[in-house]
Amino acid sequence: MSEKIYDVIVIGGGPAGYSAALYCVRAGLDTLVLEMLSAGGQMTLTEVIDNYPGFPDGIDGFTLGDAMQQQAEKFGAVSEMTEVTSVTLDGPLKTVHTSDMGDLSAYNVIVATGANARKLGLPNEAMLADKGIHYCAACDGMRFRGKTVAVVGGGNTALEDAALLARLCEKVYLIHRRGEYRADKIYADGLKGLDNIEPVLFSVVDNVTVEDGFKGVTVKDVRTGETKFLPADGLFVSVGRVPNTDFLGGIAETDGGYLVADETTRTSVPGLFAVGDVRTKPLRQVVTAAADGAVASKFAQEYLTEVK
Amino acid sequence: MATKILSADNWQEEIVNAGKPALVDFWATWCPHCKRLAPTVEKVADEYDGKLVVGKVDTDENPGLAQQYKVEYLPTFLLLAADGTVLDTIISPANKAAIDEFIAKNVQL
Repeated sequence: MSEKIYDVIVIGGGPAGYSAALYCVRAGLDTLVLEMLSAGGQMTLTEVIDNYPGFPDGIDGFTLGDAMQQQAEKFGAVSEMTEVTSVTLDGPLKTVHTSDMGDLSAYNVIVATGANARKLGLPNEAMLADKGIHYCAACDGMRFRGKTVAVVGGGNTALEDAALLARLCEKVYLIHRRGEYRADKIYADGLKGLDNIEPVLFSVVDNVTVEDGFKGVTVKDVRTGETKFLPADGLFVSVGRVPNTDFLGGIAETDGGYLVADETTRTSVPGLFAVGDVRTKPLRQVVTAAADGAVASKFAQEYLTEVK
Repeated sequence: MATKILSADNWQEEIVNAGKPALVDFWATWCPHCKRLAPTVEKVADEYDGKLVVGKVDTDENPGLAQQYKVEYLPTFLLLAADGTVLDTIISPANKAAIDEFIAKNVQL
């Protein structure tokens, strides 16, 4: 293990991670950011971000991620490209185990690893991501104004997505494997009066047809096995998200995989913070992720004063 | 050493005549995961410098190469033997660890 002990190690280089790093270095903390790909996190999957304040013409996720990294580094944050495999606790010290940088030590660990949309598991799904199969109605819905789309899922997000898309699109198929949606009443009520939503119940997505563009979705009835083709210009997948917390191995309290932390971003482990989409929170957006990062720095400073 | 920009024109020279195994990244400018992996590919090129040729093929500019090597998904990475024959293929590796494992499984460097 290297001798050096960082004040803060941030795991994940998206908006939450680099905002945390920016605020930590500006508070004089020795800060290292570990990211396994390029900066930006899930933002990089969005072509244009239109709801981050300060960019009236929108900004692409790559450019914004890169700018956030540069800003944190300008004040002294250090970035390394590596995968974190686990985190272990040793009193106030945390050891971050990596795939190719050995073990790293810090008093504070800020977890900013985000969450990924759960995939359907279709064979051509990766190739069609953002090119017919979409995972964020709020991000990509505008592209389907006046067209027909299908939404798959039965939870709160699926119904919320269907309602949003129904206001933009000509027609929305809402595919769910059960006989009724499991979303809360408030979301079900949101569909009332939206006559262009056609429920497709007891059905799962069997495959999608692509020939010179996205042509439609074939669904299979789970009771009879019969298939039916739904002509559509796109498919929105709302079957939940998977937070990236497996590497923590249960060292901190989680709920549905998300790290349990309130607005202070403090988890059940002192000196371990959860920022951005990986935290239990009501709204997962770039702006709330960035806000979390700033908050975490305040409590990381407090913790450092206690233990160092 | 930087990643080599490959095309049908320099494939023979950079890959087949190099006398070393090669890792080739088939990518496109519009593919988010390809772009997110770009710094990783650079790091691989640096680390394996002298032992492995690391190159990239922009599939929009080189549809012929993509077709020849049956690239259907992006990003696709090919590992080629020193004589230019394909040893193995990996689609959309998650990170550098996955690429390292893919290389180690196929060639002794």
